[in-house]
Amino acid sequence: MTKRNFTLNSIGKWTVFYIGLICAVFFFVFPIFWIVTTSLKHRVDVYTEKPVLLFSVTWQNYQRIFELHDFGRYLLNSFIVATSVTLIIMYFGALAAYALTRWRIQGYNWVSLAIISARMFPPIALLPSFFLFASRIGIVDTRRVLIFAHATYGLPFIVFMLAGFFRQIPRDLDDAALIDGCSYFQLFNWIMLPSVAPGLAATAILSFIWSWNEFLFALVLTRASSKTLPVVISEFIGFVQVDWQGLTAMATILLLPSIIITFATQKYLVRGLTAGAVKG
Amino acid sequence: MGKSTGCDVFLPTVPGALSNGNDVKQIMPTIRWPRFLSKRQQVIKRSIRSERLIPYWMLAPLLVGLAILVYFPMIGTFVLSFLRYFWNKPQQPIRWIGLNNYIDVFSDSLFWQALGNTLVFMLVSTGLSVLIGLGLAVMFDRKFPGKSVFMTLILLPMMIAPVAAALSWKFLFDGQWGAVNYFVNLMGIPNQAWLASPKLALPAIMVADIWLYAPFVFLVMFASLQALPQEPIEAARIDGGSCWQIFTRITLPLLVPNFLLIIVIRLMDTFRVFDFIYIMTNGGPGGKTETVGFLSYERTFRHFNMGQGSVIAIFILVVVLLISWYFIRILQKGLLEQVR
Amino acid sequence: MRNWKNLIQRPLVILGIVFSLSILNCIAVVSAAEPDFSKVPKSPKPKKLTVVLYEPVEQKAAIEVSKLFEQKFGIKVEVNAIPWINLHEKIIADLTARTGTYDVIFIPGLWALEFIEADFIEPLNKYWNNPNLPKFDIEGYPQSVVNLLSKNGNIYWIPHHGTTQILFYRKDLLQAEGLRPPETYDELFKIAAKFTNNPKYPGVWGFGTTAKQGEFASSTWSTWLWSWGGDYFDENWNPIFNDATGVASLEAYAEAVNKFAPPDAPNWANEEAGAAFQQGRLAMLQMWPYLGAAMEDPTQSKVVGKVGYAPLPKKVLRFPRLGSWGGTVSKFSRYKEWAYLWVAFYNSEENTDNILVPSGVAVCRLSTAEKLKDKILWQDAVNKSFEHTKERPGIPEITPIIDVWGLAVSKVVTGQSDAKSALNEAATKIRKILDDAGYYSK
Repeated sequence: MTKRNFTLNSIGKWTVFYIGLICAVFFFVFPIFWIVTTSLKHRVDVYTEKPVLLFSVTWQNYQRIFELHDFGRYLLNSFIVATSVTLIIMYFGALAAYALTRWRIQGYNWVSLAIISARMFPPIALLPSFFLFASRIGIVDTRRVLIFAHATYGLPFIVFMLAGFFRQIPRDLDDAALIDGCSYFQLFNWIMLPSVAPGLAATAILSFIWSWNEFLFALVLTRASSKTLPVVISEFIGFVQVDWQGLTAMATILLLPSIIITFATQKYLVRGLTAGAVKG
Repeated sequence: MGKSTGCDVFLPTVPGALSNGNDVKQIMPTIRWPRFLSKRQQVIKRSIRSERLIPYWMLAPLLVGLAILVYFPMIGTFVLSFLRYFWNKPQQPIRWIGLNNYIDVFSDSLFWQALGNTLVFMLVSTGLSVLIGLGLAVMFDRKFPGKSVFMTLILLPMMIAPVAAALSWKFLFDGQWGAVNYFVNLMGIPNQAWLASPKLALPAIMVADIWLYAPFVFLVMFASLQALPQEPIEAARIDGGSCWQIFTRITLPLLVPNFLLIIVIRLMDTFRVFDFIYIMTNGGPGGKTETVGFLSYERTFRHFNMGQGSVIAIFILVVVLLISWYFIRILQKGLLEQVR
Repeated sequence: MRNWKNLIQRPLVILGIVFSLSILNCIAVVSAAEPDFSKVPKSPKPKKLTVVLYEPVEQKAAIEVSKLFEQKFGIKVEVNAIPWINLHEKIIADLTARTGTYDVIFIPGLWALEFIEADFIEPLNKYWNNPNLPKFDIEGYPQSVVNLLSKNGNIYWIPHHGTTQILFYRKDLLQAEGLRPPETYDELFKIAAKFTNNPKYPGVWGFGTTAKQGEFASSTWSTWLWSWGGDYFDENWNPIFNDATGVASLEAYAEAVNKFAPPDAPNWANEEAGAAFQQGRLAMLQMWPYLGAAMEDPTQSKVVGKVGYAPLPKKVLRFPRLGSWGGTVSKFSRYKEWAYLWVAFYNSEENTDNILVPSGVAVCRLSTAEKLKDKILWQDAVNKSFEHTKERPGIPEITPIIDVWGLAVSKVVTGQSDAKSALNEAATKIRKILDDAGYYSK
């Protein structure tokens, strides 16, 4: 849906428009371009004064990454964590959003405040205590604990996003289904969820990308067996040297799923944010 | 009915516009049961009572999870701020020392320097990313060739891992091999030692932060623009309003609540900024890029000084809550005016 | 043999006997120095041992040794490499939580007392004095390094890695100007001045060092402070680094960085400083020797074959900073004897020579260091530097103290403060830290 609040009537204005647009795009794209090109360079070429467009391309950095001790496991970890987190957030987020919008809840103010403020707490403040707790019950370095942390921390934002969606669904739909003998469980799963599908799609995209890229929780809560890819990236920072080519190769690998998902579902993302949902 | 609660404003709504039941007041269903219920209605009434508990069950997973991950640790941190607790010295007994940690932190000149840096960072970074996001959103609010390609390109920073982004910007700002210097050379400015210069280090980090988050601001504002109801605008245009009048009198007020929300979120996030400092400058040069978020991490995880680290964390929390409380007030007022 | 009395009176025979006895003696000494790995602990064998260390260099060596270890003793070893910036907090987190995840921990000498006083690690002499376990001869290591983790007669580690900062210099550039590597700091200043902003050598700066706020600045300034004859604390832990000597050394350091180093040196960690030298931008560099391998690597270095290595110059003394890493056994390990076995095995002469050295570990084992003098270009400089070398005091409070030093140095280097007031401010802060920790109330 594009509207024309302002119309550009002349070539001049369109030129300015495109120049501005291209500058903006250049600013946002150049670092990514740098990352991808550096991942294809030999180490000697990394340290150049001018950004060079022509250089001898090498795939050895990617090769090195794939041969990395346990790379397959880290990739799997990242993938499992991100998809689990996404599914959990989608379902429980919708559940909570539905609950918030359909009932008069005792202490509604407090509940809302509690959920918003969870988003505000600096993770750094939570981590020492949570880490100690997790290690006492022995779940450090498992995928479970990371999935739990990611899902819990990412939920508040999504709950409010989906609440807007649910509010748009007329209550008549609920009543009609209930009167026809649906249980709440069926109502929620078979009627409500499909109704907010665009919102769920947007949720899925945002949650997946966030969890896939998340670093702080992963750094603190994982060891060798449940490490995820962002943590592996940080390990390329050596004491003596930074392995820039390896690092950027890993970053590029990490970038690919996000790009593919976003590009394929761009429309849904905007629609998802649009339809009465996150105005914020 | 349906008292307008302060927290409602965080529940996204299409503010005041024509809608299909989005009105704030309609959130809570009020049910009045006349005495002469039909059989069907009686069945419904019975199930209403157990229905009362259902929302609580639905919210339970979220709230329990938050309790474990957030609330209890937060209380823990609050308690810790009153203790002398070095977690690399288990041989030293943990002692209650009251406000001593607070005194130590607030009398440390580095803390105030960090606070100053953080405020500057917060205001400039949020301001610029909002301006850029808004400008881009307005630009994209029309049809033009290549729109979806451009949009995906602009959204690229959102997809990259912040760790990788910070490292890349570190290299890009390098005094000797950084591409940034190459480009400023083209504009006639000599090479700068960005991250080593007391004057330029913080601005450099701001650039990296804006780069990373302006696309998200843009996305949200763009979505808001897309959701603008057309009728008021069309009506105003028919009535002969100029572009500027329409923008300032109609469009902006409708957008303000949502914009305020994203501004608040950005303010809170920039106040807590940590990753960039950690990776790019370690607080230097000479403390010029110290921020409260980084200081808290440093005290807790490098110096193992749980007490002081917790003090700073609580301080961050209080400030963040104050900011958001202030904005909630504004939004609430604004919303009430709208509804009227 | 009626004539045997006559036989032994022949001088040649006597000589022969003495000779063979002495050879036997040597063999005996040599094999006494090597642990006898046929002795294995009687405690139950672990399914696997976990080793934690930092950074790829150590990881390579540890993985190689672990393969041999598995072949020899049948125990799997998992090697966890953690990035250096996160190493301290991760290890402490696990030790405080007493998870016992790690059996062998590599720590730097800087964390010595922190770990000993917190009772995180086991005294190793308990194990090598145990007749049922292979004996390890710690005498084969330099005293200065071993002593970092000795307390009350116990030795808590085997330091496989010990090295000092040295001076990297461009042989070709200095030779072109007819200069030798500097013996004193005054010479260093002269040479650096010659190469900075010299139109004959475009893009070259005279001197570089790591001046990034925090550990790096503190690390490199230490050398200057000690070389000027100053020190950090006196015997009663009073800060003395802000006296005239300290101030002079910091002023000189700041001057060197400002005049002779590229403008972004104040944000340099090892990687940037090394890269600058590697790409031919610096005439001299104060750096750790293990970057030498990168300098001589043609796939990344532009100065292959042009690099000379010399001990750092002296002012009053030559006193470079000591960097050390060693293997320790965690107190919460369930397989302490086997962990000790791994550490001893890692440090056996054979493994040191054949695995650690080629992987790039800067070994300090005396016998190896001697052997390498001619094979590794920088070993000679390092050996010479061991004459006077030390590390900053390894007390548990050292990390916040290093950050205070690092902040002060960074402020002075970037001109935000003069040396005297910066150091005085640092002294006040450090005094408070030590006071809170009870150092003044003994």
